[in-house]
Amino acid sequence: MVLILLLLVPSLVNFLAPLYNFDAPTALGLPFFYWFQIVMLPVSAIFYLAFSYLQKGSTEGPS
Amino acid sequence: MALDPATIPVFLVFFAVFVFLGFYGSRWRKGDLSQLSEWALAGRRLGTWLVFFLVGADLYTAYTFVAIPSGVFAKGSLYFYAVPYVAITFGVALAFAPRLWVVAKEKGYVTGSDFVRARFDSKTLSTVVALTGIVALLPYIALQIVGMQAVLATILTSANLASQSTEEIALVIAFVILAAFTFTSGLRGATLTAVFKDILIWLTVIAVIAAILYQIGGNFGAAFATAKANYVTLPGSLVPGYMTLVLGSALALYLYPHAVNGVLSAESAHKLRLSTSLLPLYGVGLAFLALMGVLVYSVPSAMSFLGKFPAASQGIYVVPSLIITVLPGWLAGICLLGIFIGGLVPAAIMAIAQANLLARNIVKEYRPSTTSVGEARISKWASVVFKFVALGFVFAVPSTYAVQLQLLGGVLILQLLPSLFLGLYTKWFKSRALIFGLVVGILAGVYMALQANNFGPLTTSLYASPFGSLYIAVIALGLNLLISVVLSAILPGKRGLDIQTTAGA
Repeated sequence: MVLILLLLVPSLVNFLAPLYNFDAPTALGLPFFYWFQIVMLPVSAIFYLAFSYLQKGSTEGPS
Repeated sequence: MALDPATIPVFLVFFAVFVFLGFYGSRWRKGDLSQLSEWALAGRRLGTWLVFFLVGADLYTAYTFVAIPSGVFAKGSLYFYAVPYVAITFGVALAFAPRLWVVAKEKGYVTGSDFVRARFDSKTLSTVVALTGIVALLPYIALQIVGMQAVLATILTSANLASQSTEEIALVIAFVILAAFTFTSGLRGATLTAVFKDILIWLTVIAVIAAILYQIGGNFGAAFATAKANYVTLPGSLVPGYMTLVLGSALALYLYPHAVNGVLSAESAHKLRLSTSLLPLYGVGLAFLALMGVLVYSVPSAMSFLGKFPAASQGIYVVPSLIITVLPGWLAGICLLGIFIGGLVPAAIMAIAQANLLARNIVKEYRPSTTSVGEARISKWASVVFKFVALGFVFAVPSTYAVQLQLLGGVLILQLLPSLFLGLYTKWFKSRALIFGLVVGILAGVYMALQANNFGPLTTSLYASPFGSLYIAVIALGLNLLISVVLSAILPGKRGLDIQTTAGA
C-alpha cells in the first residue's frame, strides 16, 4: 500500500494548480507556471518507474 | 506567401510510404487475421517499446497538434491543462491497467465491456458500457478529422488553391485509404504506421521548436512580455476549471476503448507498467506544442498567414502555419504529413476499438450463434462505417471548438469509471445501481453541456457551480458515483461476482 504513494504524490502535485500558478521565477523567459509543469513530466515518470520496478512480479488480478 | 515547390511532392512521397506500411502490416508477424484477437490485438505479442509507441500514438493526435495549441492561442493558460493531465493519467493507468491486463489475459477478454459483463453478471450493464464507448469515440474521431482538415487547408491556402470543395474531396480520399488499410490489416497496420508516425512526429516537434527558438532568439521572455495576463498564469476564476479539466481528463483516458485495446496488446503486466511509466515523457512535446499558441504571436510571417483564415477558426492553423512559414519547404512537407497522419492513425485505432465493442458486446451478446470469423467480419465492416459517421460529424461542428469535441467525449466516457475502474477493485456494487448511475451521469452531463452553451454550438465544457466553473464530466461523475453507491446500498439484488485468476493474489 505504501507503493501507491509513488503514484499519488506526483499526481497531487500536478493536480494542485495553486502550488505553481505564479509567473516568477522564469526559466529561459518561461513563466514558472509553464516550466514547472514541464519539469514535472520527467519527475512523474521517475516516480512511476520506481513504482513499476517495485511492483515487478506482481500479477494481481481483480479482488 | 507562396508555397515552396518541394512541400507538396515531399508530403505525397511520405504519404505513399505510410500507405505501404499500412498494407505491409497485414504480413508482419503473420497470424490468423480472421480471429478477432489476432486482428485487434496483434496476437498479444507486443513488447514494452512497441506498446510505448502504440499508446503514445493515441496521445499525439490532432488533440496535441491542433486542438490544444488552438485553445491556448484563443484563451491562454487554461488549455495548458493538457500537460498535468498527461502527467497524471499514466499514474491512474498504473493503478488500474495491469489488473485489467491480468484478468483479460487469463479470461480472454478483448474489451472493458467483457470484464464488466463477467464481473457484474449483467448483459444490460455491459451493453450500456459498450454503447457509451462507441458513442464517446465519435466526437474524438471527429476531432482527428478536424486536424487532417487543418493540414489540407493550410497546404491549399498557401498554394492559392483554397476552395471548400477541394478540401472536402481531399479529406474523403484520405479517409477511403484509411478505411481500406484498417480493414485489411487491423491493429498490426496501425502499430507499424504508429512507429512511422511517431518518428515523423518527434521530427515535427523538434523541428518546429528549434525553428521557433531560433526565430525568438532562444528566449521565451519576449513572447510572454507582450502577452496578456491570462496567457502568463491562470486567472483565479479559472483555477477550479483547470483542476477539474486535469482530473476529469486524467481519469477518462484509460476508460476509452482504444486505450483498453492498447493495454491488452502488451506482452506482460511488467512490460505494460514500464511502458506506461515512460509515457509522461510524451507530454514534453505536447507542452511545447501548446506553447506555440503563445509564441505564434511573436512570429509576424505566421501571423500574416493566419490572417488568411476566418478569425473564428484561426486557432487550429497555429502549428501548421508555423511549419509552413518557418521551416524549409521539404521539411514542412514531412512535418505537415506528420500532423496529417497524426489524425489518421488514432482515428483508425479508435474505429477498430468501436468495432470490437459492437461485434463482441452487442451483436454476439444478442446473437450468440455468431462465429469468430463472423465476429471479425462485422468488426472490420463496422470500423469503416463508424469512420464515415464521424466524418459526417465534422461537417456539422465548427472547427474553432475542436477541443470541445474531445471534452464532450470525456463527459460520456468518464461515466464508465464506477463499473470499470472501481469494478477492478471491488465487487460491492450492484449492476442495477451502476446502470442507473451511468445513465443519469450521461443525461446530466449532456444537459449541462447544452445549458452551459445556451443550447448553441459548443464553446465551453465548464459549468458554473457554487464551487466555481467546473468541468462538466467531473460534476456528472460525482452524481453517478453518488447514485451508484446509494442504490447499491439500498436496492435489493446481487452484488458482483468473484473473478478467480490462477495467478491472483
